[in-house]
Amino acid sequence: MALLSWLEQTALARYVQENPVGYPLVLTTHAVGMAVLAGIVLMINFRVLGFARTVPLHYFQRLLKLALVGFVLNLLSGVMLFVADATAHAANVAFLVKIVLLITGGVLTAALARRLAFADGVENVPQEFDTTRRIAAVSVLVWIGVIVAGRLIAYVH
Amino acid sequence: MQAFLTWLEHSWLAALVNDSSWMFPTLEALHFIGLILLMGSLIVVDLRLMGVGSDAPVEEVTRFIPWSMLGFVINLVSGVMFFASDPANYYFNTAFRLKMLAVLLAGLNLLWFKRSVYPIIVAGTGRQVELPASAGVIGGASLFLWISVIVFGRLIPYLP
Repeated sequence: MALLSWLEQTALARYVQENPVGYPLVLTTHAVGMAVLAGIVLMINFRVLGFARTVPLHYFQRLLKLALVGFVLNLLSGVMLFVADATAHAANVAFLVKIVLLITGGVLTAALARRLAFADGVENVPQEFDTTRRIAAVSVLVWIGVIVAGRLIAYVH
Repeated sequence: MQAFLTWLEHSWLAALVNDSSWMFPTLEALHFIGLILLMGSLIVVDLRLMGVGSDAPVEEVTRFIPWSMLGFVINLVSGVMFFASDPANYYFNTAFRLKMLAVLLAGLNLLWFKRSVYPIIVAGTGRQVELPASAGVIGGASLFLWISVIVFGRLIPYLP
């Protein structure tokens, strides 16, 4: 595709491809962002699923803001990693699976965040919270899938 | 040391990792899952020690520490297997050595937490615990050191 080849020629792509510090720097940022984003999301899901129930949910709502910082960090570093090798990424099955899972995980986490923000004391409404718990259970699996698929990009051709 | 590295390189453990095409990527995926368990739970605990969300009962927040332990064990096992697969290259690698130093310092920081702050938290269970100033330093040091572990670990293939 012409667009993908063009992306690989942009200044951003050239920086990642040619600057000796570029690629390791972006990759390291991506790993730290992953730890912050996926780490926090995982712990919030554990909490919603019933672990450490005595820790108030609003403590985790604060942590969600930090998770969002991790997301932005990884969106930026992810775009840089993508454009540096756009054609190969677009044809890589592991990458495509990662993106689908990432969008799913994002939607699930946004839904969870909305439920936690709206229903103050959401846990006191058992039926409501059942749905919230289901979202959390699926979200754990999806986010682990994002990481595994991402890690496999280097091995799938 | 050289003898040990050579022995390890020819051990069954090295063969286990090197003789299959799927073992290394599987270990890498596990290493990343361990990493998010470790970092995620540490962020929950360390930020509370640093004063974020001070209305959350601190003794309950520390219940997340076992997730850090689980993540650490997953990464210790997978990490030892990485090392065994190519002992000499890891041993002499600058990024690997810095990573191990950061892990060691993080361990000492945990020991400091266990001895100074944790007893105060346990003694204050059920009441509003007044955390000492050292709790914030310990929480901040923990986050700094473990982020350093990620950074140095990620740089292993790129540094001599």
